[in-house]
Amino acid sequence: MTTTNQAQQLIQIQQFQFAAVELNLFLDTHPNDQQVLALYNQVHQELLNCVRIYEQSFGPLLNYGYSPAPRNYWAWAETPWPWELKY
Amino acid sequence: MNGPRIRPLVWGSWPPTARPLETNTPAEKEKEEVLVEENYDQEPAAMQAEDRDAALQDQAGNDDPEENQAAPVKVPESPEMKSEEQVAEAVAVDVDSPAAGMESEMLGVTRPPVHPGTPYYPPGPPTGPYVPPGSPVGPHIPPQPPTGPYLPHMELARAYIPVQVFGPTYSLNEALEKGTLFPDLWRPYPVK
Repeated sequence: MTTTNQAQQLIQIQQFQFAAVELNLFLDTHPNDQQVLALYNQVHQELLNCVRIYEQSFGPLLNYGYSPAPRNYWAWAETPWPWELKY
Repeated sequence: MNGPRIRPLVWGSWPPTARPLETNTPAEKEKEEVLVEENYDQEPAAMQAEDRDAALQDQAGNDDPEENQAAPVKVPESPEMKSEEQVAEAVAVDVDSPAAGMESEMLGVTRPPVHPGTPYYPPGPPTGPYVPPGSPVGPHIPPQPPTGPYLPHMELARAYIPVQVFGPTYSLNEALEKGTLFPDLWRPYPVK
C-alpha cells in the first residue's frame, strides 16, 4: 500500500461523508421522503465499508473510541498525521 | 454537649455600615408623597399638549384659509378620542406649510422645529412587560400587533423560503468539489 492509495481511500471516505451530511440536512426538512432515506442508507453503508477497509490497511481513522483496534498494539500514534499525507 | 460551639449570628450588627430601613420622619414622608402626586399631574398635561399639536396639524390640512378661520379647533381630551382617520391626516400633513404656521401664530402655540420632509408620527401605545397567558403573576397582556412606537400601522418584514424538491444529484466527486450535493443549491461566487 502506498501513500497515494491511502490518500485515494481518504478522499473516497470524505466524499461519502459529505454526501451523508448533505442527505442528512435534506432529511431534516423532509423526514418522510423514502427515496432520499434509501439513498442515505446506501451512502451510509458505503461509508462504513470504506472506513472498515481503510482501517484494516492503514490503522484507525478516529481515536477516542470511535475506531476498533484489530491489531495487537495501539496503532493510533503510528499512523501518519493528516498534514503528513500527500494528496 | 461536647460539640463545637457555634457562635450565633447577630444580624443587627452586620454589616456595620448598613443603613436602617426607615430613617424618614413623618414630615419627610408626607413631603415625598406630595412630590409623587405632582409628578403624576405632569404626565397627562404633556399628553394633552401633544393632542393639541395633532389637532392643529389636522386643521392645517384644509386648503381654504377662510374655512380654517371659521372652523372651530377640536382639541381631544384624551388619546382614546383620536380616531385613526385623524391620525392618518396628521401624518400626511406638511407641518412646515404656510397654513400650518399661520394657524400656530393665531393660536399663540409654538411647536418644536421639525426637519423639512419629516412626517409626524404620533406616540405609540404604552408598552409594558409581557406576561404569558396563564401566568400566576400579573394580568395577562395580549400580544401586540407588530408595530413599533415610531412606525404605526406598518407591518414588519417577513422572510420565507421555498421548499426544496429532491431531484438529480451531483456525483460524489463533483459534490465534494462544489460544496453541495444538489444542483439547485449551487451558488458559486463570481470569479473576479
